[in-house]
Amino acid sequence: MSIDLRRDGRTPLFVLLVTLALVLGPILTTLWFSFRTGLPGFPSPYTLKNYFDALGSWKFYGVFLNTLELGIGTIITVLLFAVPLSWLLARTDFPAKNLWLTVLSVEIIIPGFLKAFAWILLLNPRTGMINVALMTLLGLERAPINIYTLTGISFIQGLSLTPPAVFMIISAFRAMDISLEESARVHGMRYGAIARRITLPLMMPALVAALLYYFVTAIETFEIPAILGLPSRIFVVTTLIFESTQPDVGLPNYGSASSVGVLLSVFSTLGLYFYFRTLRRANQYAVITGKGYRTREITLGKWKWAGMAFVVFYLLPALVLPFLTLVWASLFRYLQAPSLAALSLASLDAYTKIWDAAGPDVLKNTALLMVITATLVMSLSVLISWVVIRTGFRWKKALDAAAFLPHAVPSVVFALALAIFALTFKLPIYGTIFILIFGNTIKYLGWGTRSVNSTIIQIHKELEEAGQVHGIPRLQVLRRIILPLIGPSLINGWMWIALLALREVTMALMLYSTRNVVISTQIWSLWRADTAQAAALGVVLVIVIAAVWFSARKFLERHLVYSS
Amino acid sequence: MIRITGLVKEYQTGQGEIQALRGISLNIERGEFCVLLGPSGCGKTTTLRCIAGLEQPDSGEIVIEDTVVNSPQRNIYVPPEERGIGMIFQSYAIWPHLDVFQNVALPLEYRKEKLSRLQIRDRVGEALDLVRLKGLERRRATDLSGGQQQRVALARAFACKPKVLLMDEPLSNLDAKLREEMRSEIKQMTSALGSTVLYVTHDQSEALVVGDVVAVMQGGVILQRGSPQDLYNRPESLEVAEFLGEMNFIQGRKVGGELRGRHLVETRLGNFISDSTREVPVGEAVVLGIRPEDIQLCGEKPQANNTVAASIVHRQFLGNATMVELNSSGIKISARAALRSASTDLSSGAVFVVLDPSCLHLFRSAELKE
Repeated sequence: MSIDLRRDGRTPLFVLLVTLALVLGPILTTLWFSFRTGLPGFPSPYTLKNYFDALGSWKFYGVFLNTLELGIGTIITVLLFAVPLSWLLARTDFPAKNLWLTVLSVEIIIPGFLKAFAWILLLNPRTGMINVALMTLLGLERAPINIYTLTGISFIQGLSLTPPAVFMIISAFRAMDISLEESARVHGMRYGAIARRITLPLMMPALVAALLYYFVTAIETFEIPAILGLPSRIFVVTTLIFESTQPDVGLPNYGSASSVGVLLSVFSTLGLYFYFRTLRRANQYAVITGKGYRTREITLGKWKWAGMAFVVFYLLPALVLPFLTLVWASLFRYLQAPSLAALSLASLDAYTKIWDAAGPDVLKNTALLMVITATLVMSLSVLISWVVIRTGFRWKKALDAAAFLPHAVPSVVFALALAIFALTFKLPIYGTIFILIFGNTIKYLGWGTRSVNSTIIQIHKELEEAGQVHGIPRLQVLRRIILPLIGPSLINGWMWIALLALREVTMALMLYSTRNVVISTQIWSLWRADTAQAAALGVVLVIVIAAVWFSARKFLERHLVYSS
Repeated sequence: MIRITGLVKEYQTGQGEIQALRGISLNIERGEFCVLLGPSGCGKTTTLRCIAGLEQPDSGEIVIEDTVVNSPQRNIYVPPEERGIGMIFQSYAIWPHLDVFQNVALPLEYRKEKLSRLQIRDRVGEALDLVRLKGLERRRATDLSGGQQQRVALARAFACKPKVLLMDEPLSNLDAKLREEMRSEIKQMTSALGSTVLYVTHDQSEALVVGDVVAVMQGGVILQRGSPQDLYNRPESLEVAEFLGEMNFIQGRKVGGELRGRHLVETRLGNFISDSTREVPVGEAVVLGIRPEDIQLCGEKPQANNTVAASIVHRQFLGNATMVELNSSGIKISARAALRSASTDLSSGAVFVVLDPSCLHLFRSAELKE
């Protein structure tokens, strides 16, 4: 219900202060520590040494160029796959579109590090199954493909960023007014000309916005560059930060990590700034009302098969091959090249021992992380979005921006900030699951508020006013009218955040201790010691995620009727 | 029944402060159907929402049935749920997760006088009977047509037996045919129940049909309040005259006559006599106004005052009348001629226009908007 400022003046202010404390606390900590040296909690002079060291070394510029290359390589891959996929799924009569969309949404939640591990098994230069197969088939001396390269990292990263990009671009396609194309057709333009002169220019801002967004995401991610880059000592900025805090030799250098983190955050904030500017232009082209909206589907005809081939062309490397590889790897104590003969050696040992691998502590930690994070994020998001959308609070724009800010700070930097914060103030949460919960909560606040914002916008304000005016008390308006209406999408958001927290590995690794192991870090650390066990755990994780998501969608589809 | 005094409300926007209400005062008697009429952005909806308690004025006072429900100066604010009102929203605001019966019943569950389940069922049945939705109790709200949703909204408001019924552009989402049907039905239902109604609209013909009293608003103030006949026949300002129906305007200067009645006005088309009852001193710049249907057209020069020659520029056949667009010395005049005279007398291009002095309105020129 609309909060009346005279009566509820303190609530919005309170929400703003809590949000600012949560968001700015870690960010300012990083900034502060980037001017210090030594370990957190020990005295240090204020100095610019960290920045001079970083900006004065060739290594940093090499890493910076690597990061740029990774960003560009990733968005090229995303462009290649996401644009045709979005077009197929948004504008044509491609069969079973909803099924493909669900598959893509499941793919978002499947941890990226599992795919990277699988691709190592397929394409590492010594024993990679595809490499070995190609060498025997073509009689080559050396492995033809090396996954431990920037190109390899960019490709795998692009594959796993394609699904969210597809959803972003599809919504841009859907926001486009079809009558703009129809009027071109009526006035005698042909398909090709319409595509070039009408559709493409209209879609351009939205496409550029999407690419900017995924460029920033690409340079912020850690897991794939860590898995595929560190073995061959190819660093990007995020892995450099990780390396400084957990070096192979010597003491962790939090000051240096902080300064690099600050530089990266400035860079990505700049990227997001341009993203929002482009987005504003894109929104000017979008249809404002949903009135009379209908899609004119392009009939594919026999081109349907080409479309199908393209979907397979994407899903094979992005989902099917990595998953089958994990399944295969989970069956053998020592990895075998795929053949029927090898099958006789297969065993389900790894699955029978799965409760040992993911022990009660790991499961308990994971469950705590998922449930508490999702609950905190959704509760905070409802409060924040309510103030932002439904009140005349003076600083509501600032509140909205503050909630989105964690989006611009890479997870690595965020985790670093939390570590420094906890160490400096000797907080007992350091090394426990609660520091992970804390980090994840702030990190996903941006996502949560975006989702609740759009939900609340969809509920017409007059629906609650009608309740108020006809004498229903405020709390009952919330219980009888608003919650039934937004409940399903809150549950949807809750599920989504729980699953995102489940797949999260970057902060979990940065803040790793023996007491806060979760499934993602467990798989990560098992990988080198017992590949089969790690793979088995991964396979089970994927199946559980997919099953939960499919059934949740079924349930929610029945209840999501009011919004939209 | 409702007494509003000196309502002022300002909004903070990107461009700075906007005065939505600049001192609105209005009285509505028990059982009266009052219409707030004005263009969009004139503050009529804000006034309505202040009465409902959904918004608060910066100053002023609102009294509903002898209870002060809002007075910022005296720090009184009664929240909407305690004001005992009924309201029809522009979007109807039918709760989509409930069926027709539940939509009407929900507010009844929270009445101060605790109603039993049986009483609620009876009240809902009565209300649905009244709006002729009997038999649709279990229909989902999302499966209703626009007209049916409108009826559910009415039933919900009626079932609450409100002290006052507020309606915010209730017909604007319906198509033209249904709109005419619903407006007479709303009028019938509310007068049968003896409801006190405040009805907001931007549609002047709607206002004239349903209102016992119409208040014309513009720019956050009430320009004129009166019966529909009053407003149409005796508009006090150019804005009201323009907003209600059409009117031709001719600028001029008062050159003779009395202070009120029998004014002699000099214009580019010659001298005219107006019987307007407004007080205007001689020498003042004025604007003469006449409605198209009050203009008389003659084929031959008549023996009458206020006659001027004009040529026909354009004719528009409307079925029951003909709109004739005329030009006289560069001034455009539209006249609405009854069918027969239009076909006989107006065959030639040149005609004579007679402006009946009793229909010739007089406004002070200072009021003319740029």
